[in-house]
Amino acid sequence: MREACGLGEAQLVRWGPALGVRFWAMGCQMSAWLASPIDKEGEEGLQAVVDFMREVEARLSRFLPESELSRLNAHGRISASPLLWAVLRQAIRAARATGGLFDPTVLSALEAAGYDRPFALLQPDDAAPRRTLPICWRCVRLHPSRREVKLSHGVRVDLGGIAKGWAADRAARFLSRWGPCLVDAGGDIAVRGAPPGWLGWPVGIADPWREDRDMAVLCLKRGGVATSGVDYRRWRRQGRDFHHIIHPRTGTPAQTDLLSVTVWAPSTMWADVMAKVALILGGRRGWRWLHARRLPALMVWRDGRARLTPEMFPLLWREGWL
Amino acid sequence: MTNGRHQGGEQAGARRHPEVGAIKLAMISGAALALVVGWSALSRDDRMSGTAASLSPSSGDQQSLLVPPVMVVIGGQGPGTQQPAPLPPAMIPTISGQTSDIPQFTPVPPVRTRSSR
Repeated sequence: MREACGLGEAQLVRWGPALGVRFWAMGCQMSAWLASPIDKEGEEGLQAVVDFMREVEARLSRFLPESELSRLNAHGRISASPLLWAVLRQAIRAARATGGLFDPTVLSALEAAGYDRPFALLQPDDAAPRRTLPICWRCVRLHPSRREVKLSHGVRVDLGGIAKGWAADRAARFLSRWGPCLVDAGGDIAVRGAPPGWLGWPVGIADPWREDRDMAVLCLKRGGVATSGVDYRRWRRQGRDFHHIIHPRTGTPAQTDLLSVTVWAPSTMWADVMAKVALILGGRRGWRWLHARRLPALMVWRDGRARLTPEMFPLLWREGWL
Repeated sequence: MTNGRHQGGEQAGARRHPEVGAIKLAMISGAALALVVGWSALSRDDRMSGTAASLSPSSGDQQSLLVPPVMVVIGGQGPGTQQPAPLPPAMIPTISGQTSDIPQFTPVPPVRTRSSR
């Protein structure tokens, strides 16, 4: 139920040189961190991040019927708030930049595949997957003068992944006025500055095979890192495996030989988009996609192999960086 | 005549001392063996110094992996993880000197990137 309502108390925690706050929002465990020294205002800044993330959820969750996004999907047009407008604009930009490999209009396909309620509430279901409705980012029309959004008939939008990355970037930019900071939006992590005396924040890359272990630890002082994977949000229907990464060209869960992709980019939102695109493309083509853009990345195959792009090596944590 | 006598004398000497032939044979075999051992050791050193990748899990249980460049093997929990197929050479990017000094110590990170959950 946490996914649906985003309730739960924020908890102040200390880690090494930083003070942080852990909380639930957008169906994920999130946290925000400020490096010492932290005054009262800094603590208020952390609380403001919690409030901001919950506002993003309240406006952009597809699971909340009263959210702005749900109203857009229900009525096909809306006069958008600045928040919805900003995220939608970035989503369309990402769709254009990736030739439609990232597409925010996959909601109908996602629901048709069975992901029609918060993940925690999904039940084994024997019902056949439904027919998918159109996936077409070009069918989202933005009118900047009136900040109005119109969707073509049948087109529905999901901003789940990209909204987390976007929100992490915005929250980190906000927090950075009090010093070096890090914002973790459910695995999409934005970083601004390094804690005093450190070269960067240590950020683990979780091992998709073992929940409790990191495959690598990165040292980050700027930009963002995100992981897209089919290792967790997956379910079975009629004996078939489904997951939440939809291939926009087929309208069904992507047939990929990859288990997860982690990407660093100058912004967390782009890291999220690039990781998703590489996952959809699969091992060989995804590697070429990331390599051509010289993006630091770690790809994990379903058969257990893993590869780092050359650009990722300089980001690995090294002894003596403390 | 002199040569003939000399060769004849050597042959006669070898016949008189068969252990000389055995020693020569042993020396040649030893040299060949040393060459093979040395070559294989050199190849292994090359692999270890240039291309081994070692990732540093936060828990401290280190994995040192002798695998092709920028390919690491994880876990063992997945299906068929024991023997990953080698990558075609064209897909292995050239890197040098970047993997040898990956640390033995890292702090436990406060956050981890992973597929959203």
